[in-house]
Amino acid sequence: MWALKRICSERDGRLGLAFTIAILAFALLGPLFSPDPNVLDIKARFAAPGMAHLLGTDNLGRDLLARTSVGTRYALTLAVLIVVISSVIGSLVGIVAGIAGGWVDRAVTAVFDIVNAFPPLILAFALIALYGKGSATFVLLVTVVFIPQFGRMARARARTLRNLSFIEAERMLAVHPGTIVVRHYLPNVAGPIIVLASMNLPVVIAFEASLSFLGFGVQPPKSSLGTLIKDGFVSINQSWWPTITAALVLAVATLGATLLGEALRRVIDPKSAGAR
Amino acid sequence: MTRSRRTAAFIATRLASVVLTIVGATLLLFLMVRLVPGDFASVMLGPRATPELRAQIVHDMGLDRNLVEQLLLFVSRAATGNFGEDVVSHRPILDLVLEVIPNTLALAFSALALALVVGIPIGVIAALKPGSWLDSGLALLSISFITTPTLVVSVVLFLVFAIGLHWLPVAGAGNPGDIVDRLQHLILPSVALALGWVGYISRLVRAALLDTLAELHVRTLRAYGVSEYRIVGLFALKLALVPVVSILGIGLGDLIGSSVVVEIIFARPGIGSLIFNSIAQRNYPVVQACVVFIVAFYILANLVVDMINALLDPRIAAGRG
Amino acid sequence: MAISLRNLSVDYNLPIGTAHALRDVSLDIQKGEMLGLVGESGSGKSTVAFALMGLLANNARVTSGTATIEGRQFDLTRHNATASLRGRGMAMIFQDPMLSLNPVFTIGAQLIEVLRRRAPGGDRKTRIAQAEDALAKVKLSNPKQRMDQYPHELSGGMRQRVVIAMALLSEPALLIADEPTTALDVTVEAQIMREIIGLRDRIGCAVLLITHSLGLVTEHCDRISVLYAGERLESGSVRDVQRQPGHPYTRMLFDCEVPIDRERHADATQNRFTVIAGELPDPRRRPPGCIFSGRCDVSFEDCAKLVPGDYPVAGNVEHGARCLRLVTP
Repeated sequence: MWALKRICSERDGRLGLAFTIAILAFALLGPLFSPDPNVLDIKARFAAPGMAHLLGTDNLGRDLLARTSVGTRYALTLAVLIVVISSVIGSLVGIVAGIAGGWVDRAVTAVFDIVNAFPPLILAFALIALYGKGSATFVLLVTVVFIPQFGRMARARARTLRNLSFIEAERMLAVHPGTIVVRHYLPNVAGPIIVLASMNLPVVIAFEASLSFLGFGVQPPKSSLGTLIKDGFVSINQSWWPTITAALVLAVATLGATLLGEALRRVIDPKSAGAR
Repeated sequence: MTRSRRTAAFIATRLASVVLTIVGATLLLFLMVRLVPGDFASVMLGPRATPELRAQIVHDMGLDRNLVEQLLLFVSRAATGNFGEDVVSHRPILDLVLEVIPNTLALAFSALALALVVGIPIGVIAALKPGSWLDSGLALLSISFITTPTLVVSVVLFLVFAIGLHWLPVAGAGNPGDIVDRLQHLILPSVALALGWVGYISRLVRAALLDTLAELHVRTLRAYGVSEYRIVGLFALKLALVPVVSILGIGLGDLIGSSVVVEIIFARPGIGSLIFNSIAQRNYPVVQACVVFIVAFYILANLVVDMINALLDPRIAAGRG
Repeated sequence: MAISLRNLSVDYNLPIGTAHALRDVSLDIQKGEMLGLVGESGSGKSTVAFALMGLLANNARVTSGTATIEGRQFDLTRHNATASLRGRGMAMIFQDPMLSLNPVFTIGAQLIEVLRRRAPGGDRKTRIAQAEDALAKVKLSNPKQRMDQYPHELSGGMRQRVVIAMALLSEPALLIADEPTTALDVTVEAQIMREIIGLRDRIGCAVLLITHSLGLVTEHCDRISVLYAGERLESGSVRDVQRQPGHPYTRMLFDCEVPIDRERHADATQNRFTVIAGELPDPRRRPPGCIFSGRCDVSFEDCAKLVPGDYPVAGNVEHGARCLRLVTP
């Protein structure tokens, strides 16, 4: 794919791709190299990395490599899910608002403004506190937090497009509005939205990790990078190994996703790249 | 219109939209809280519920009246600072919040100040010699700062200073009377919060400066022999700061949110820990009050940022630019 | 004292190769004289200005050239050779007044900045007075008020006056005006040209007017130099060149200027427009012989083989053109 080639041509893109692939490999192939993450081995708790346990063990003697791998998998899945859902819903709402104009537009913008009036983490807190924990609810509520961003971008694009002559022409030819939307708006909005989505992915990953760390995200027995950091933190005085492993993986994942996202942005939408 | 009248009009419109947004946010908050599944009073009281307590709560909070009346009650009380009494400590909730706000504010502002004081010069240096080794090195550093989540930074800092070197305190806010002690306790949390923003601000300043330096008015200054340092440090920088200031508004919101994580890790009292603990205790009125404060602060901060922007770039107040 | 430029050659390093933007360009301007440097887009005229000021882009290289300004010689191949003259001996007026002033600083601040450079040991009050005085001299109304205004509050013509005021304050020996009126309305153009001439008369500097408009040159300038594809083809006094162009290109340029007839032809087909066929040659590879030979309508065989030197026109030493026809009977 040409996009892939362009990404690889830059140092940042290569690094981003490398990191992301490394993390993905870690997440997906982890189980092959490690014992069952749920096996407790109290005698071997807080072991440092060694032959039996490549990354050491946690407070209950569970293999860290396995646990971190599972945690990464879950964290990435959640993040991707959240980004996809919020970008799709956000784009649709944004396009409708951009095309419709008038009170619909004003209402939608007002809602976006209000949601944006809350610092994102605080809003997520409040929502989760009120409506319960659990992964499904989590995805739903965090999606709400991120929809306005995509909505705003889609709306702005839709408004610019609406005034372009070829759209006017089609309207005058009485082409069905649905067709116009699908054939013209969607492809034009897709570009910036994809860029925004890829740039938001690391943000969501970190967001989920922070929430899970505070106990608001993923609930046991499921685990994500955030919960792993929390577990490690609680017993940090006995061994810093579990915390560091999860934290490091989180850092590499976000770095990789960010670099990849930036490279993707330069490839797909160079006009928004600005100065480097 | 004269310039001062234009500026006044600008401020007035901004204030109006701010008030509207605060009202809207409060409304949303109120709805969110009231629409919690289950009987509100019982949910809130949780295990502490007794019939008498419940009746009292219902009465105090006006839960027996209809929704609109409840809303008006809430808004009118909130406007006067009356958030009711905390069921746990029997103190006015307002006091609870006001007690911890200074800590969070101190944290947020020192983090912001740190980020600006370190980030802007780094950006300027990078812009003076674009493409050089120095520039690439600083770029790498900045990007790693930006992408590392605050969570990770805080944890690592905690690890290093709590377990490894014991140079700085890692818990609490310090003794109330002792300024030096308080400042010491502020260092690590501020650094943890500020790091990401240092990276972001330096990249932003660099990009904005390079853009500005390519503009023609800089060429005019060069043609008249103004020194390069003066051009970059004064004339170009003022223009370049405009996008930086715009970002700060969003930054404050992000800082407040991230301060929760930092406050938990470093065991600092603050509005973040207050919210966190209240949620754990199901103490929703406190949560509500905290969120109102945070939202109001966030919105006001954005307003201030807009004002500063208008000061920096006179074109904004005039409606252009 | 005169301004003289000798053998200026500038190359640009582009991704597609090295472009020879200027080749061996020389010109002279006397004190109090206005020289019009004329050429089409891409002829390199702005490059001459920037090379003199030392403001060329990073990918430009001056491969040869010396300038003598007020008796001092400058080797233009050295980076920033004339930096010491900026703001003191040389001043420049740019093409686009909308973009030439810093939008977030007041007019006063920018004028005072020029004064700071011109006379470092001065106090603020004197500077403010001088700046206001300069604004009055360029006929800007309400100078005191203007000092506190921002560029976006002024029109294009007014901004250009501010830039002229800046030039006034720096009391240059050489004023370079790079297409000063191209971005302005025709009605404002006349006013701005009057200001530039006023500046020249007030200070007695030499003025290099760079433009693509022959009309401006014939109306306001004393001498003219014609630039084509980086080479100077002809120079002389405006009267001489206009009466008897020595180079075919110059002749065609004058023909291109549509005469504004009193009686406009009712029938549009009667209006004749001269168009010079062809395009500028590739700046990376100079064709052999005369550089204009590809587009010349009176060229002969030797034109494509021999490089013409500078020959006097009609026996006039002050008027020279580089055309073989002048030395071919």
